[in-house]
Amino acid sequence: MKRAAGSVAGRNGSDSTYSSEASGGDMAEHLAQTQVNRSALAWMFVAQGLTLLPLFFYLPKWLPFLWAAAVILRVQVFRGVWGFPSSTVKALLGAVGVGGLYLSFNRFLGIEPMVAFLVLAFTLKLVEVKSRNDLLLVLYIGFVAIAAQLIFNQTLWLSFYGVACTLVLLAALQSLFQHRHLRWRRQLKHSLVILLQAIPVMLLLFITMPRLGQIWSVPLIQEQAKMGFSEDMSPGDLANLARNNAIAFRVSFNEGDIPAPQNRYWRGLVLDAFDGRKWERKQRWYPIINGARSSSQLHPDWRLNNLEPEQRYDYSVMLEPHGYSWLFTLMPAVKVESQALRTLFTNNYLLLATERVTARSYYKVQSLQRYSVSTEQLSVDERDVQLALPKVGNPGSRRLVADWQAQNLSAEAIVNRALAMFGDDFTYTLQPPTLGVDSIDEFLFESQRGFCEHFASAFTFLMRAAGIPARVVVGYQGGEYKTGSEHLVVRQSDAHAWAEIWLEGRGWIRVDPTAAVAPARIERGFSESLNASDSDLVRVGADAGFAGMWVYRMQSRIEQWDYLWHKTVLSWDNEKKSQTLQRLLGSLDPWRTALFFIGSLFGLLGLYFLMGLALRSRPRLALETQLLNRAKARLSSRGFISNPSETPRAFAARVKSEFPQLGTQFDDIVSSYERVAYRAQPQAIALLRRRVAKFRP
Amino acid sequence: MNNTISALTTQIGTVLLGKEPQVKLALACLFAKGHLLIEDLPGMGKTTLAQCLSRVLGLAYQRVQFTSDLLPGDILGSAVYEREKSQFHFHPGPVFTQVLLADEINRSTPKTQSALLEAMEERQVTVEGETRPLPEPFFVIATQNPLSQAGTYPLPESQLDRFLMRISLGYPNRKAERQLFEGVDPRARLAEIEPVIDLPQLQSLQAQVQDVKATQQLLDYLQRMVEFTRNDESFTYGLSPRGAMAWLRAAKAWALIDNREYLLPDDLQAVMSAVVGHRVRGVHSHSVSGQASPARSLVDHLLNSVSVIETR
Repeated sequence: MKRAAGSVAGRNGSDSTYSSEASGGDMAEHLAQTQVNRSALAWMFVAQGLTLLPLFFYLPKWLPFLWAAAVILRVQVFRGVWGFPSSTVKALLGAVGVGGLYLSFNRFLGIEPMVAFLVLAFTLKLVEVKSRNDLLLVLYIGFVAIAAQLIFNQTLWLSFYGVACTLVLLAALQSLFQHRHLRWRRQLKHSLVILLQAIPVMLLLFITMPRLGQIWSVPLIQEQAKMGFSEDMSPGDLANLARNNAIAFRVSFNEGDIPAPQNRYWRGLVLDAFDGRKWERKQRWYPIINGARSSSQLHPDWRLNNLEPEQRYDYSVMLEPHGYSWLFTLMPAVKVESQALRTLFTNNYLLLATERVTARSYYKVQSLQRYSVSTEQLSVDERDVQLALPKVGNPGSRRLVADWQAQNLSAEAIVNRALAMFGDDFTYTLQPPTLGVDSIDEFLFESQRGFCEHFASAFTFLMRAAGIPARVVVGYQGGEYKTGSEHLVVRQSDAHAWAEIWLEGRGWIRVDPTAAVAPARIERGFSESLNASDSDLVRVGADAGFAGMWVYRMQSRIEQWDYLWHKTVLSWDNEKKSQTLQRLLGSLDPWRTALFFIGSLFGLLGLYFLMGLALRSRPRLALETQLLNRAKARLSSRGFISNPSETPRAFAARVKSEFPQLGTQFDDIVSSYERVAYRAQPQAIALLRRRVAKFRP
Repeated sequence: MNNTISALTTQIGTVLLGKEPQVKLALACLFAKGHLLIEDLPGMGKTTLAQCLSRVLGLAYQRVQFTSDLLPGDILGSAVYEREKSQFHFHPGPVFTQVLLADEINRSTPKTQSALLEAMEERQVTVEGETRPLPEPFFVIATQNPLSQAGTYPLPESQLDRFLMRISLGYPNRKAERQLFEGVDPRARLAEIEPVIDLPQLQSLQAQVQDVKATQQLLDYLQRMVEFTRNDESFTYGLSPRGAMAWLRAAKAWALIDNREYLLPDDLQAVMSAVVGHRVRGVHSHSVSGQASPARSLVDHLLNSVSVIETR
């Protein structure tokens, strides 16, 4: 350390001691400005590492290594092993970094390249930190980096983490201005005090400042991982999802009824083209979007001016980012409001966002409780689409339908026949056998074991073969109702596929063949419907034993907090702000808000000032006395209570006479106390502190 | 330094059996350049202590038995006419010594008492207009009998204040007394005692007392106690600044004997009774020097009422 200090000082043309050892005065101040002391540097490394950690997960994988290299370089410079890099080296490093970013992203515009660029600057600045001002700059970039963390992830936990990062950054900032080295816990305590003082100001700003919309929801992030089901459905797709316990979305019901479990069908996607194995969308999104209707007004198919609460479901959906553009609603959604998303209705009553959903989003929906759509007739085009089947393949199924048609059954009778067939011989399982080319035939006549997509697919095929317009709907079914926070949690494992058929006079109606096989799936939820071997595969809730139960409970508690955090804090918008201010101030006059803001700010400052005065006027016990008292308090639990007129040494002797070993320990404490208090050796306080810390009678 | 002092105490210990605390106090008193008042019955070893101290320190020793007809001149000395030289020549009295034992000081008249006490304070004697310095060091051990009060002239408060400490030797403990019975006469042992230190060493020890460190925390404790004697209602009057200074000095000497160059509250407490006891008077005690017990309980009251470490 001495050598390093000497070499750093020597480089700057001064042989004075190192700034952390300087105790004040002009020279010390000068040194502090022109040099970076050891503890400040250490604090900065820690603060930077913590701040960058969450960002590294979303950025190119080589950035952490670059950071580590920069840290090593800076440490070597500090130790005097290497000199500061020359301008050429720095220019080279910068060019390599920028080039690396371009290679990783192939573009410079967009949120991720920009954040990566910030991280690059943050990292490389480290190399040329020479003076206090340089370090200040790095730390200020750190605060921006904390804000950048929230671009990628807005959970409650990351918010806490951001606060922790702020705390460490503040400690680093403070350590820059200290001539004396403080222990890290003490340093953190100081920054905690500062942070606590800032919290009321933060709340004040939160309440009064106008909102600029949910800027984090601006869907600029390109490389969003896709979650949930994809744009088509093959046998086995949803069964894989069943093992995914992640939350898909949450619903809170604002007013009116909550649908019964068997009616909670959250439609996401309608699939109407079948190739013998896979169901796909017939239409591309563009024409749908072009011909779609705005969702912010009541759906034009329902010429209703005002929906009574008992006629509708009124609910808010908080959707986790899934990287697709479809949204989930109950059939049929008639009105949608959203701050973050631009939404559209499609012709088959789906709700669609105009952009991919890359951030947690919030939308309010009204759906009708009872409905009938397209009752009169289908257009010729649509009828063709909903009846289309491959020319060849699955001959067994076609023969079966031909049999039914030969019996001159009505459409309803055919539906019932099909459902009855499923109910009689089929098994609902997570582990269906793999199917070949004629997947419907193999499923219906050989394996007879399947998950929801097998049933939906086979049923729709049968209906179309029988001339009944039919389509597959993919979405989620059910959800777990949280009574504490009154909301419904829908997970990926609730993913489901069912069918919709069109019957003359009744319009489009929902038919769920899975309900015929495994009614428990629909009524009580997914995990209830499984047999033992399937349960082993998914392991949720009570099935997972004691430890699993605990984990499950903990997880659901955390999810609940996260939900509340998002609902109350992150979705705070101008409307909520206005309501709160109205309640607080009585009216929304700008001058009232301004007066409230300025008044509260100065009130707070005055309060802090008075608190400072009060704290200063009350003299505190000397630190060594506090420490000794702490040791005495621990002794009192063993029955030793010191008499006020007893000197520490006499008390130690008394303890020693009864418990020699304890007494010896306490004797050591007393002797270091005496060194501080009576021998004017303040440096012994460290020893005293250690001894008291270790003293556990 | 440590060896010297421990050699001193062990040497004295061979003569004065089982009296370590009193011996230490007496030494502290000597190192602090104060005088000692021993309040005790006859035959408790007062003379032995005084002689013993003078021998181990290699100091000159004189003893004066105070009686009601003792005159100042008998102590200080007087000018005597010498026929050969046809002039008065000063014959120094017993006060011109290094250790003076003033036995039963309260038996003499206030005039004689004050002559001695002035000499104690000024460390010089003025006879017939001529001022003569007393030898260095000058250490007075005065004794008085606490019981027989008839025909005595009790020392007034102002005079008592001249003594740094007031102690009592008390009876020896069983073991020490048995050793007395079995062993040789302490007076015979006295003769065998060799001086342990010389005058320069003693003076350097006395100088070191001043260098003993007292921190703010310790001075706080002293000041809290001094203030307590002045404010508490069980005291008629509190400790004077001179008394407080004396206390600090005595405590420093005690610390030095304990081989420390810094003061502990323990030092203040150790010398408290000897230094404070005769300087304060309780509301209920009428005698100043007579009974020891009320002053004793007053000192205990002081000790128990002031906390060593500041509490808030």
